[in-house]
Amino acid sequence: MNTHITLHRTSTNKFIYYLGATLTLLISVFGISLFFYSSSFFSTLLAQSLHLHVAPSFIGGEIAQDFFDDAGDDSGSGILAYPSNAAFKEGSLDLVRYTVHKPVSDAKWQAHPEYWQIDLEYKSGPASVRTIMIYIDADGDRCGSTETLYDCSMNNEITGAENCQFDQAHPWDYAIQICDGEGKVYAAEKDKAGALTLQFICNTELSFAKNDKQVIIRIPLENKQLQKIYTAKTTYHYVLTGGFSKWDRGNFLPVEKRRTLSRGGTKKVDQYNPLIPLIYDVLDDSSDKRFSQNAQLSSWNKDDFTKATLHPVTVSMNEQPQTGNTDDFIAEVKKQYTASQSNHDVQNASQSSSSGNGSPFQRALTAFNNGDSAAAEQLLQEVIETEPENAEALAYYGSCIAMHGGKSSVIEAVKLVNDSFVYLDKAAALAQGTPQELTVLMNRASVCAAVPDAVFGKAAAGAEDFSKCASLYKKEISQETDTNDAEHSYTKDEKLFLAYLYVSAYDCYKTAGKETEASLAVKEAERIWKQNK
Amino acid sequence: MNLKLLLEALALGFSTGTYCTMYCAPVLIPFLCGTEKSSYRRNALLTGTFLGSRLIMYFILGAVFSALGLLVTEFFDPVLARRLSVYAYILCGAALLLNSFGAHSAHTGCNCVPLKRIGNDWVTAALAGLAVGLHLCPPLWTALVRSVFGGNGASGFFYFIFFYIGTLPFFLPLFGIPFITKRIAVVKQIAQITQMLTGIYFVVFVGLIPLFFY
Amino acid sequence: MATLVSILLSVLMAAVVFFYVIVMGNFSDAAWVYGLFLIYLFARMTFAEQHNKGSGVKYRRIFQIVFAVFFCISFISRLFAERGSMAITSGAMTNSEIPFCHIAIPQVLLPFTITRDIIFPARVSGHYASIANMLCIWLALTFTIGRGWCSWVCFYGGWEEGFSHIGKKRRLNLLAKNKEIREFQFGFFAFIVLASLGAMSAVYCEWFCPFKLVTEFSPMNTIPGLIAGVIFIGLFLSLVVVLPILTKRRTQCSTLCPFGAFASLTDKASLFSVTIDTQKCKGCMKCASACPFGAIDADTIQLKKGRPELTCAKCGECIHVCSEKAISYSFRFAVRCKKPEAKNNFEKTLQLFLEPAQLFRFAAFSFGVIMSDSFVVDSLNIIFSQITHFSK
Repeated sequence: MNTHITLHRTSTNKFIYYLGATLTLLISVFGISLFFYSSSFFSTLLAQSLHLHVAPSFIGGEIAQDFFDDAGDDSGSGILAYPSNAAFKEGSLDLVRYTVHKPVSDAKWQAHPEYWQIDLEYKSGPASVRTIMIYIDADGDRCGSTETLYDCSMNNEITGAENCQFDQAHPWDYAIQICDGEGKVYAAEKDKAGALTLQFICNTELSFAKNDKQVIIRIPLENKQLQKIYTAKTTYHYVLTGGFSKWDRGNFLPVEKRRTLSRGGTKKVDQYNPLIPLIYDVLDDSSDKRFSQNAQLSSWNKDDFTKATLHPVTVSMNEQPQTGNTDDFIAEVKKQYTASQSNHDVQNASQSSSSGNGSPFQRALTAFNNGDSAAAEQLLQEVIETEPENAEALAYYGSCIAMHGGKSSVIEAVKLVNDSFVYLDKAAALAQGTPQELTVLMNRASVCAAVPDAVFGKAAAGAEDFSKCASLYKKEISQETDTNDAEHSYTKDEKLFLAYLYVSAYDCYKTAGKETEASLAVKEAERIWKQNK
Repeated sequence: MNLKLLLEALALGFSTGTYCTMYCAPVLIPFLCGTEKSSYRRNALLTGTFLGSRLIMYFILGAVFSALGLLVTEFFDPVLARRLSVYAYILCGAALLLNSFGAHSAHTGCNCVPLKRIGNDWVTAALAGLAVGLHLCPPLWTALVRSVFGGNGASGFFYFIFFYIGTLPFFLPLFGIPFITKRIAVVKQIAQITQMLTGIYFVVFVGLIPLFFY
Repeated sequence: MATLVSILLSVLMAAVVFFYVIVMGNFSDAAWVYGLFLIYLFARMTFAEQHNKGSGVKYRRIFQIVFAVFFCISFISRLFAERGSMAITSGAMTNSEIPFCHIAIPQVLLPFTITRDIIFPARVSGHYASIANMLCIWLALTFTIGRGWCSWVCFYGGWEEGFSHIGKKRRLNLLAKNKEIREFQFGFFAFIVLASLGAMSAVYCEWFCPFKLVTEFSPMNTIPGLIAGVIFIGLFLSLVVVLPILTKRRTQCSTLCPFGAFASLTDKASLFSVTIDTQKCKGCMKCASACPFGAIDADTIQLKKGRPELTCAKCGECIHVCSEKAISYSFRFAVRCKKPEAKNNFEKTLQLFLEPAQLFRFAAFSFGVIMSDSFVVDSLNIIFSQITHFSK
């Protein structure tokens, strides 16, 4: 009996040993290599499941609000032209994005533990040609100044010569001047006698990224005068961009009748007037046509010599990111959008079979929409050969190559996807400011979302493209219906598309580990979805 | 007494869990694990001394807020809170180092009687509790302001007491420390080393350096 | 049959090297050079071990030293190309682009568990040095080679590996202080973890990491920056250069490295361990002298513990010096389930294929190959391009 039990234990022991050893062999010899082969998949899965994100105080703080400004609106009220100096590259004064963060306290590893970060993004660089002025009404208490920094400085030592004034309802409390590689913060305060005084507060931290396209401003909040930002619920921002000139008033580049090498000018000589604001781009609330950039910058009056009056954008400082369960909402949006796209594809298929042959581009689009990316790729190649600057063709071609990569081996896929982005990026650059921009960016965003982020790192770019698409779509609707975002009642299809864009942006932000941006995106999607419900 | 307000105070206290852990864990864990004599009763009393001192410091802060009145919102700001933390770290670090050199004499070979008196476990627990109470985290700030300005004296007092009770669940695991130290003897030596290093770090790296250079 | 197993493993490793080094290196000259070097190294190690147990350890040393040096060249070159200096720029900090290395892991885990924030400004994913990627690598190594990472893969450890083998004679003997050194290492680890939680920043990375000298550091344009600089330079010179030369041990790895202490604690989850056959052991203490991590004391041998202490990094130095061949790699699960005696040729052959030492070396070397490929190939490309440039 004991011998039998011992034999049984010995054979069980043997079995367990050899089983364990074999598993160890498989893991050691094959497992580690396979793990590294699929590491991008595992790391993305880990990042998403653990909701990994860096502590906000390291990276500027949580985002309070993010604004997209129209690209291609860097001509003031439509009449300004850049100096002919090559440094004034197209788009270097064209503000495209403005991000306000929540103020941070007790930050680690930073030059200033208490700071407030504001990011600006331009269409192109260099940064040395810009003067940026940000005027902030921090409390909405109607105490502050409605004049520019230059106009209200005591002895004109501090200069700001934008040639404009500000909304009486929102006089500014702080002015931030960024030019010549430096940033300065001023406060407009009333002294004991009730007179307005201008006071220099501090220098800002300034850094540039993305080849000078991005300007990151950190305002130290050690000074007591600035600390009302911590308790501010809503702030109002005027964001102005002009050309930089060290030798002129306010470091703002003057504008003359005609542009010269070193001076900006009006596009037509008879447009010139000394009251024209020296501002190439101002951040406007694109959903409200009354305060569009053109409307603001042409509101000067030559009869009574009044300057143009600017209106601020409203920044809510205490917007809480969505914390509720949004998965059901996201799934619903995706489901409805997929269903509507399937119906759309069926209609396209029946139309194309009945309409016969169209142009190569139309046939390529039909093949693309029918899922025949190989045929589409071939046709688009022909289109591009004849029309190398056709942004839409380039974008669809890039998408086809990326789809081709999805069906290829790993090594080939990497090459194909990289090639696809060459076409997509070129298409995006060509389409900027044109009616094709929405379609082109949709293509690029979709590819960014589809490729593994751990290999290509495109999730964040995809999210920005989706957000930009939403902004463009809203603008299209606004122009067609002559209403603004607050007034317009979106149709079901419009709501679905916009919600889908924001939900896609949310997915991409989550993949890139940007939780705050993801929350803002899904919050906007929900707001639009629930409109008129 | 408004029950809703007291429940709110409890919830607010519970929400400070992360801050409590951040400030108290580096102090209490090595200190309690490294005491020369380890017993459940002594451990509980030392933890109680620490918590009591922390409460006393909060009452002192409450009294200061009351005296300042509404000026407190003008006077207190994140920069001042950070500077208070620096002093808190210096005081706490000094207490831990005195305890390391005074009470853990077998390791440090120190037989200075006054040092042993100042560095004994009870004094260290009290000083460390007072020091940690100086770290003003946002929920504590809210609780102090509401309790001082939110109503009459008694309701404010009870608001704060319930807030403090809400913070206590996070300290419950500390009462089980003797379970580990009795079974794994090396934990005591490791904890004593950790305490000394923590004391040096508090005094120098998050105390004197920020005090003079930030 | 043993030769056949060695050949088979060498061929399998050659396949791994071919794919990860040569193919991923775009078949460049540098990729071929490094690939062939690795295949040669592994084959020599495998065949050497077959003839003389433990003799392959010098090839491990060579690999780790090469990796450390070339990692440094590649990393610093990339920094200069991106930023123009080794110092961390405000842009890199603001955009959260600081490379996340494995040493930061024990510092961020506890704060992440409690606050859900990662207290290190690195990319979350989409990069070789992103947080998610390094966490995955850490999980993989924890469940396979455990603290073997320190002696087979770590791209910092190679510096000490090199310096500890410069001198022929040991000038300072730390054997009697092994226990105190281990206590200090865990005490320092606990301090780093708790201080990082309290300060909500990676304290070791901020003040104490000596390897900032060979990677990147905060600019020393403030007094605190200068103090940090003095500390990390001092620690590098003392713990990475001078003490390893004097003691012939990896002093930084065995006293200060928080990841080493952390990996010691999680090593229980790994597949392999090192065992000492107390029947064969004669108590000569050569293994204790040879151990660069101070994981074998007099007590370990005298009390017949049957295994090194917690801080064993599975480097194989003790196996190399043991004249009785009493020390060997074994499977972790074999502690409870002993290796059965081979009763027939089939079982003998099977046990040859399932030899723990071979499998551990394969696993550890694979890790090393894959972690090192891009850095070493990159460095060789830089060196070759410089040579070509100067020869013109």
